[in-house]
Amino acid sequence: MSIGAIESESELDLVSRLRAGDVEAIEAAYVAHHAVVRGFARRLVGDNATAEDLVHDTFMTLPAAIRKFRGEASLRSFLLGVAANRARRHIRTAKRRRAMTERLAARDELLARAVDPTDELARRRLADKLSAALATLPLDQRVAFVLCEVEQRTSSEVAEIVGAPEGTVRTRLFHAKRKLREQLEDER
Amino acid sequence: MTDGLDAMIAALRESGDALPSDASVALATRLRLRESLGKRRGRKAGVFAGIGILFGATVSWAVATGTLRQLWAPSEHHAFVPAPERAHIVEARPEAPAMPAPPPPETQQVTAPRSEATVTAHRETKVAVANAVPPVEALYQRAHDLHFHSSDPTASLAAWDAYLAAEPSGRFAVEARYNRAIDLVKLGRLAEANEALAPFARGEVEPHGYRQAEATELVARIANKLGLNR
Repeated sequence: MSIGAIESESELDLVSRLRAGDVEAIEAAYVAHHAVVRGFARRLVGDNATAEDLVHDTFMTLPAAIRKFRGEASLRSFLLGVAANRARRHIRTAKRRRAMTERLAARDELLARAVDPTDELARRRLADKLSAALATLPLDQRVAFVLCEVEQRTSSEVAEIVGAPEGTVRTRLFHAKRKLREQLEDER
Repeated sequence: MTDGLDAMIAALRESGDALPSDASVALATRLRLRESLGKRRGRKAGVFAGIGILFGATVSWAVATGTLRQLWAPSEHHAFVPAPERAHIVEARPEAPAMPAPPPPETQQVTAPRSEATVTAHRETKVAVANAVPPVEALYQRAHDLHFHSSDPTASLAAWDAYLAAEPSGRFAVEARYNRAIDLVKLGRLAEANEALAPFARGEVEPHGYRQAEATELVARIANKLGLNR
């Protein structure tokens, strides 16, 4: 039996345990997939603490959400879809937290003074700038942008995750990129 | 322009990559998830127990007061109550003292055990939930919840102190020390915060470099505020 076959069998077993309401299966799903969900959540909401809330929320919702899982995609893709759906309620919190950090930084003239010249800080500022611009997009465009451009997934994979046709994903991505370019151009 | 957007995309991509501190973050969320699932189960059990107790108490009360018999045979009840007796009750009312009448003894007898049972059930549920996680982890969980989900840094600071007192070099101690320092910043206790953040900023904390960039930024900001740079 190949490794792929074993993995898909154990995933089937996990899904059936989740469907049966087995609480330990939720923890097993967390152990197997938390890193991917966390990475996506961080890129999507742009705030680590809020991303952690989204990860928690995603796995808490799993027992109810798994009823819609038909096995056409992997459990990992399904979890990313659940996270994308649950993100709406967390995005406002993330925006508030980012705004607070920006206010603090502005008050202390940190941005102008460039207190810490390390690459890490510069990288974080660039990421924050994009997160702030992403916050102005509708959620479906934002999800499409993060999955396709930031996480570099194929449009067919993203279509599978968000449960929309591939053409729709491409359209959302097109609009997202256009709006972001316009917005960043205006800021210059 | 495209270069600028590409650089931002690359930066955002990296921001989602695993960090050295992710092991403790992942563990904290796992514990939180476990606790939330335990609470959900406890809540369900509590609701069922509550419904059961309420139903049992209602049936006992109905049996004790004869209400159940009346419900089963309402026509018989009317036959048993003679008209003069009812008239006597109505006539006696004006002569009754102004003080409020004591509650009927049957109600008292039934009410007392029901409330006791309910309280016991609640207590048992709470104890079961509290026992679901070890005490030190519960202290950590409480501090974590206060830190990230409340706007009370004083309470959060006290909770981190409680956790660190219980487990000064436990597996979450580093994160607890860092979050404690953040609470000190929020409370404006900048000198103490500076002292607490300094080892993080110097990269002396294991795992190496834990929150170093953030701590460096905060220490610089505190120094600026306290006028240490001048």
